Amino acid sequence: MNLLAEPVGLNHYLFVSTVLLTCGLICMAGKRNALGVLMGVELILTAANINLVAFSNPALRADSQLALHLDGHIAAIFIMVIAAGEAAVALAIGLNFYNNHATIDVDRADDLKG
Amino acid sequence: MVDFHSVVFLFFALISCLAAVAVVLTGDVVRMAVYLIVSLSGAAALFFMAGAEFVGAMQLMVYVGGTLVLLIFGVMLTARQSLIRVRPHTNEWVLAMVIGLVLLMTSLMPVALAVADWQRPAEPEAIGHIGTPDEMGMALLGAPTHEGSDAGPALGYVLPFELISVFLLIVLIGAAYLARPKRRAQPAVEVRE
Amino acid sequence: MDTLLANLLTLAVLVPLAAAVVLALLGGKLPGHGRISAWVAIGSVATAFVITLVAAFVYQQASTESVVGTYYTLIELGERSLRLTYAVDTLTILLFGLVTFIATAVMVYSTEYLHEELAPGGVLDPDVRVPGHVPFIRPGRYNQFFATLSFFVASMLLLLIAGDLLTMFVGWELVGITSYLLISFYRERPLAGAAATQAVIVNRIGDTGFLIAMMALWSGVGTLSLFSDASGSTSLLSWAASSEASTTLLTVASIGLVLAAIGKSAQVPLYIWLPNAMAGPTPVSALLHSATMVAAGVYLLARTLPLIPAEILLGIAYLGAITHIWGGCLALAGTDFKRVLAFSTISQLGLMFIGIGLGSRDAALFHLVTHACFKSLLFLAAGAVIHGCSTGDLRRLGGLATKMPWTAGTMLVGVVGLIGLGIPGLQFGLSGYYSKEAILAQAAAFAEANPIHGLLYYLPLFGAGLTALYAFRLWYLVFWIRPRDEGTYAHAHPAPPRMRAVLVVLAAAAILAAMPIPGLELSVWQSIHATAGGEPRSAEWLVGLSLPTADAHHDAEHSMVAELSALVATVVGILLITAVYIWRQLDPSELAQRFETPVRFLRREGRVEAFYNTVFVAPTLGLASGLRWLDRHAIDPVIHSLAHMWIVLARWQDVFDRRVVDSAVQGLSDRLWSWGVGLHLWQTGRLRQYVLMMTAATTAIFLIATFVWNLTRSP
Repeated sequence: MNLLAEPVGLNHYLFVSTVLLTCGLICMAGKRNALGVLMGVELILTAANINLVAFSNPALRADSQLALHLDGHIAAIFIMVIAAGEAAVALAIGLNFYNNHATIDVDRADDLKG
Repeated sequence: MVDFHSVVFLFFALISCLAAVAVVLTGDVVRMAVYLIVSLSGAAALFFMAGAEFVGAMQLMVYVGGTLVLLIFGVMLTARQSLIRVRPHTNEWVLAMVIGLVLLMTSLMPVALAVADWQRPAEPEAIGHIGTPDEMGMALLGAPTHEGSDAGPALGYVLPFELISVFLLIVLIGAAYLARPKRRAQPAVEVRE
Repeated sequence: MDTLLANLLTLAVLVPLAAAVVLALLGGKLPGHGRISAWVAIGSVATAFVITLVAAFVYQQASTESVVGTYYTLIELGERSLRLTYAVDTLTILLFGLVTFIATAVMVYSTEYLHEELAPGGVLDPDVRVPGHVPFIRPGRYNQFFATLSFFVASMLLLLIAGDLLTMFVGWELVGITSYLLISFYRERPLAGAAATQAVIVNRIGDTGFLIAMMALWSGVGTLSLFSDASGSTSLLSWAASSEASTTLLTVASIGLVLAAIGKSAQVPLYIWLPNAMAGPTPVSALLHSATMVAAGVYLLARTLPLIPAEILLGIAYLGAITHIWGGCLALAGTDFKRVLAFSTISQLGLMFIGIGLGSRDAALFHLVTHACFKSLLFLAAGAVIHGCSTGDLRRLGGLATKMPWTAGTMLVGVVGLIGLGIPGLQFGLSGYYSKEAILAQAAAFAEANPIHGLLYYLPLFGAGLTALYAFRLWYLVFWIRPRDEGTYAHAHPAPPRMRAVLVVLAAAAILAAMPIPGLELSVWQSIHATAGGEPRSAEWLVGLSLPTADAHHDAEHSMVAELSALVATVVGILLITAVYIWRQLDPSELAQRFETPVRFLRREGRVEAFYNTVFVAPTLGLASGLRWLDRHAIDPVIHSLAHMWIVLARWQDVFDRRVVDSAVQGLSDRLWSWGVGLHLWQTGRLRQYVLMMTAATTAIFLIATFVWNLTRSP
């Protein structure tokens, strides 16, 4: 755990984003509630955002000439916008499903079973 | 050497991570939503600490204040007593954990921690903020964000900006259509654990 | 003149041939139910006779002795050549006249004899056995008869006009074929086909000799022409007369020719076909098997006499003598009218062979001509009897002189002619008398020259007595003694007028044949004698054999001796048989008992046919059935087992195809199917699983990319 000894750098942020990513994945894979799955999606997107922001700051890294500067921020903005839109549509789908099947359990949504 | 910066970082990082873990481990969908709000807020704080004030502010406003509120509304609309605490089968749960931990342990961690260049140099500079809102807006409207080089000419982000606009329009229409009032179905079967 | 002569006689050959072709093609469509076809045939043959008379006249005027020419050249290889030639001399014209005359008579006779063939409802044949005892009715074959008979006449004339052995062989074979067709005329009867086949096969044995002789002569001499043509080219006769003729070749060739003559002229041992040939209609027997075809053998030997070494001639004489006696004995014991006449023909042909063998071709040919006249007369009389009484069995006939006087009278003329009765010293007698006397005179001269062969004089003498015996026996049994079967006698009716007329004409010919034509100084004998090529060869290795010259029988001494002894023999014979049948001095049944063994032997005709059957026919059939057994049991199993093997192979292949190939293909498709089914189990439609899959895949890709990147990354 040298992480605690060093000054905060890029890999600390990456550690956090990895944890968030993993949790988001497990949420997506392991929740039966459709809204739980959506929450997992949000976590993953947030992890991506943390990654981008961390990479764009030149002071956090040794090879500071490779920092993304403004591009990383703009990318993070875009991701946020898309995440919002996606959440809205997913919610609409989920509500539709709930109205048709009276359940929000994703295991019930196996009409595509081949 | 622990300094102030590191302590604050550690605090917010712990909040974020523990809240995320709590999202995973809890079975109650309402509580999941709450923990998610906490985690995202912690992430926003981390943004501030990395010098991305605008992005952090956006995170708080759009994500936490907008998207998650939306989620909570959805939870409210679909929450029936029987559905709030639905849990998957144990072996599926284990499988999901395994895959997740495999991803965490074997792939990302080594990469995340092993790259030497991603450590902060021994004589760190101060972490200033990167982009002001002005620069952000200008970039969105087409001003080049960096000098042109051999890799390619300097570009702005006006095209993605337009696309995002259209995208939001489509989302609005689509969501409105999908969620229009229809005949409600009666619950057919009680969901057992 | 010469070409005119040749053309006339060729025309005489072609006219009956044309009639035959026309009748064969159009016969069925002629009006009058085919009655007209007879007159077409008769017309053609009569025309040939008239042409012959004209040709005789032309020949009389012409100065040449013979006319020789080529019809067609088949092959010409340097010195050797194969040609179809003709040769016309006195003998040719004489025999042309004989054949056409007798053929016309026989054809006129058969218009009545075969009258039943014209019946509109078909012909009822009582001798055909049909299962179920239904009477057998067949359509009439009037037209076929006359067509075949015309074709026969054309073939015989071709044989006579031939100037080389090849053309003669063509005619020889053609008469054989027509003989086959005519013998088997009543083809539904069981005997007819067998008799015809037997005739062909036995003749074939003789024809082999002919072919061997032809091959030997052509390879040795280079030509088959008998006579030299105007340019003096080599011919067989000129070669034989020259000194370079090798005895070996002459012997080989003449043995072949003699064999051919034996087969065709029914000498011992190849005579058995002639009695069985009586299965054909009686006119056929009259024309072919008494007068013309069977005489072809004698004619062949007469033409090729200069080629035959004297030793072979001696053999011919002995063979003829044996045949003469044997035929006479069989005729004496015969019970069927036509069969008796057939044996008589065999006997008389033997006599002709004696004549040839003794070196007198002229005597033999003279006898040929006279024999033709009275033997055909005898056969036609037999036909009249059979026609009237519907049976030819001598044991049932009798006393027909009162019912059929004309037939009886003409047959008596024929019988007397056969016997050769005449008054010596006065030159008065029937034609047969003269010809027999000529042969006997030659025999006397021969016996005088070669006392060791005296038998050759006494045997014909004894034969003359035998002839008298059986001839008068025949006449008595049919016409004189009281009828044996009342039923047959009651139903007998005399011959129709046309048949009677023919009989009378032939009787006249039998009487007059030896007489010279008044005012012309021409007679049969003189014509024959005038023909060239009659000198026999002298003996070479059999010392002491000296043939008398051809003129020897004109010696007064020999001829007187011959006449007297012949007269004595015949009178003795007549008296003997008359004693048996007329004067009742000797009882025939008692005689039969006394001489039981010989009589039985002769009644069975010496069992010769059975002997041939055992010795020749049965082994051949046995060999054939043996080969058939071999084919069926040795060769067929091989083939069957081959086929079987293929079937087994095919089965294995099928099994292989089904088990291995099919199972491979099937297995592959099954495998793919099960994979597909297995894969579809992954399509659960469950969201979380899909997420897991995606995650796992992404992780895997990331790991691989990391390691690959790690490996390729420069340290």
